Amino acid sequence: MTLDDLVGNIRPLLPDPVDELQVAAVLESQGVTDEGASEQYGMADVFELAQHVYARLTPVPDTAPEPPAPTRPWWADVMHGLLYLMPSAVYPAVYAVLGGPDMLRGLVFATTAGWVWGAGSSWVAHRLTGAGAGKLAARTLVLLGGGGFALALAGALLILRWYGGGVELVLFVLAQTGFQVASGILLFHRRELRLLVAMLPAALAGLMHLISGYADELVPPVLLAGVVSVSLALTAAYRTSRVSGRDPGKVPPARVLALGALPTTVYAALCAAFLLHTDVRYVMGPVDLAVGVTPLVVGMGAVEWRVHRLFDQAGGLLRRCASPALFDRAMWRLLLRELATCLLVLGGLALVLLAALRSGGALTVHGALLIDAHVVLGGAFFLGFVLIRTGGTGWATACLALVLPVDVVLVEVTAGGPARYGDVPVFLGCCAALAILLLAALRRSVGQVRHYR
Amino acid sequence: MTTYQLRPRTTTRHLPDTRTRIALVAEGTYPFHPGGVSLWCDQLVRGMPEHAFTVVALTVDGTERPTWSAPANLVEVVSLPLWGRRRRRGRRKPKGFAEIHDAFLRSFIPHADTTAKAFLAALRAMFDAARSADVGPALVSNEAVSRIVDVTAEAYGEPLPLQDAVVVADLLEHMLRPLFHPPIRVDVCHLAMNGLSALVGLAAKWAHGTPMLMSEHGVYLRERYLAAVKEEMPQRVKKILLGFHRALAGAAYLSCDMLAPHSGYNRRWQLRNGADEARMRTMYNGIDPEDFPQAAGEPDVPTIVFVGRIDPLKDLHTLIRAFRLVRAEVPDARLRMFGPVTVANESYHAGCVRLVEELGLTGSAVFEGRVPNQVDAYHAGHVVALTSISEGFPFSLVEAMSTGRPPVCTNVGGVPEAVGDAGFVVPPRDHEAVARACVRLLADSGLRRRLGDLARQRVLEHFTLQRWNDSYQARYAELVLTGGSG
Repeated sequence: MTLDDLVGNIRPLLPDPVDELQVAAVLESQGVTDEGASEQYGMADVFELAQHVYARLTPVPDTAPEPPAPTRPWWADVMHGLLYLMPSAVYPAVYAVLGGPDMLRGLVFATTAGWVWGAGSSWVAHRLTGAGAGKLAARTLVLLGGGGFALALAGALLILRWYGGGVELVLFVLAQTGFQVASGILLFHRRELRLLVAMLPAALAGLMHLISGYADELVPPVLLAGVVSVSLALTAAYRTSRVSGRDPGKVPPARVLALGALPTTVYAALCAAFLLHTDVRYVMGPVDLAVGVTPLVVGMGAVEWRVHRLFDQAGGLLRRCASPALFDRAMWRLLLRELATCLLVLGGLALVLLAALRSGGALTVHGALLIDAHVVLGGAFFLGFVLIRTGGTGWATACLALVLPVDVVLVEVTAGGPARYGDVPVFLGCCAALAILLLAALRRSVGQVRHYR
Repeated sequence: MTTYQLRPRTTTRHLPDTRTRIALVAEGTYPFHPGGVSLWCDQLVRGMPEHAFTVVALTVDGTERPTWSAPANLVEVVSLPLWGRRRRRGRRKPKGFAEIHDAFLRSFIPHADTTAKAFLAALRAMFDAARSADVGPALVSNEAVSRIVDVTAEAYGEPLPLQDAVVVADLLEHMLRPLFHPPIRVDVCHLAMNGLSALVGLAAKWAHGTPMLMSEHGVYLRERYLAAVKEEMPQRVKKILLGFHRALAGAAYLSCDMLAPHSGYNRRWQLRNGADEARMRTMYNGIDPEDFPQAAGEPDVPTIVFVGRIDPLKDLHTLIRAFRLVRAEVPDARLRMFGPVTVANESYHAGCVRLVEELGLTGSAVFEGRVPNQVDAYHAGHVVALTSISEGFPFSLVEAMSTGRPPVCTNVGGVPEAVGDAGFVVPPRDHEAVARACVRLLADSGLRRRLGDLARQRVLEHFTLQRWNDSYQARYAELVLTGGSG
């Protein structure tokens, strides 16, 4: 074999060697020895032969392939808000059975527990997926969902013991938790449409209930539709998670997973506390205050969508920018642009609500301020998501931990004051302060290129 | 840093521990994973009960659990995770880091004749800076990434794209972590391989004057080069990372007080990368021949045996293809492949099974899994085959030879030195040559017996555990005398 033949044989295996030693390694792996190099090619050894082969291998231009376009359709994220809102279609029927106080207790407990538990579970599932254990992640999510149910049952029984409420309250808590568990699993697997289809009976029944002027005779069928929807969602979640076989990845121990999920869980708990501390007071209040959270719930999908888009675009910036300094500046522009987009979407939804309330003669200044506060809070949640994904979970938690007590204290102070609903401007101010704090915290991370590998 | 304290440092309560303390650094192999390096470590520790061993393992995230039972004199396993969450070491930013980092990058980008020395000096500066400040965040900061872009632009005429520079910065930070852990305090630091393990030895040497002994089973740098061929990574990133490994290998060879390559083959690579011949002693792996006695007879059916991990490096596809040719000549021949399948190699195993089915060898070529007593696996064959594309000085080959089974092996690493004239050595990936050698041995019982006897004799003369153990004892004693502290 001539040297050219040898080069021809090596080229398919090593078209673009980094240096002559890599060529030597590949030559040896093909059976070329020092003796062979000497006898066949007249070289001192494989290393000398490798130098000659290396010189003959023409480097291949290193062109980075364009990354594939995001496969996730934009509407999949955006519809999350609608999905989060769907269970509320049956709340009037639940209200008719449980009454205000019991329903409120059940709703606050189930929502908070589901939110916090879901955040932790989702973190664990994503961590396992990242470790190459996607099948285990799916099974773990189901298992943790079961744990969430047990937690919900225990909490409902405690509420029952302390406040009363009957078995209906327990069933409501379990149904609400069932929806949150199922939605957590289905959204993790990107099965938004399945959740939508499952929740359609409840939504349609709730709509009929609304059209009927909340007729009492429709309460049982609406509740039945709710149960059917939750059952369908849970079945869909279980079937989606049904996977068999082992994962190739290394599974982190349970202790590591539990500890790792803790910061996210704490952050979610603080978010829930901050939001519900205000909204709970108005759920049973005047209609413009009671529905103040709606733009935030409906718009959360859009907030999640813009977070994903921000990171997609950051990948593009990383390919286009020539230096970290340029990237830093571009990233700030991008962050502010996406924050503005979130606020515009949420603001648009708020405007629709404000107009509807105004036309119904139900809008007050405090109602408008509360709706505005939720729009600002949506912006803060966007910033919180970005901060967490750029390694700032601790900072995001610290920001909330700072704002929440201030909010609680000021609300207590204003509640005793002469102005009715004086705590609404406090909440708006705290939401704005939270957004500013999160923006300040993002100064440390959002322009750092290492977060966008 | 996770430390598993396996047992008290002293066995007698009131007496100080006067045993020689050895730190054994074998990247992440021992005591977490199976394989030749782990077996070698286990033999070493068990073979020297008079010394106290600390195993330093470079782990993924520190959550690994030992799978080898701990010998009585293994006092501690120190786990240095490369990929877990970075431990913060003080809040202070390292002083003069920009110059240190710049010198570090320029020391190996691009590679030059002076690289090993310059790299060593840069590592030392980095080590000193890390003793009083947190270097980790600085290594992945925007400023560090910017320097990578600038240095590559100067070296290669075009800057590294930002997305690649981020990858380089991140990987360098992970790979340098062992240098920033508190240095190990022992009498001798024994590296089972070059590469990142050397950073542990360098840190101990600089902090405490601990002498460093390096054994190499395979050639770490060569294996990195081969692994990189199939890695999905931009070529320019590979070039920098392999440059780092090349520089580190050279720096480690320069710093070693003693080098103990496991074969003459390894020795060539070490010399090529700057090792000092005066400090080298080739030390072949050894086994206890009593654990692998000569087989009394032979199986009834002509059988070829493979013993080892089911792993792409073992190139079982070549063996299976060779076996199909063997079956054409020896229709009743069997191929029995003994060895564990790790989770990471499940898809490779599945590919091998598919190949067996495609070639119509189902039932005659069989994966037997892990065998409780490995000697039974060798005795189950007439011939032992090892068709690896990369090897150091494989234990399984020496064990097979000890049982008097003639080997058919590929010409990689130290394999020809082990086999000598006691078997057949053929080119790697050449299934026809493997088949010819196997057929020849299966068909000629006289040749088989003669080579089997020669193989056994060769092990008794050159590759016994006792001989190997005595050599390492002597090396440790020499190094302790030259050591700076402990």
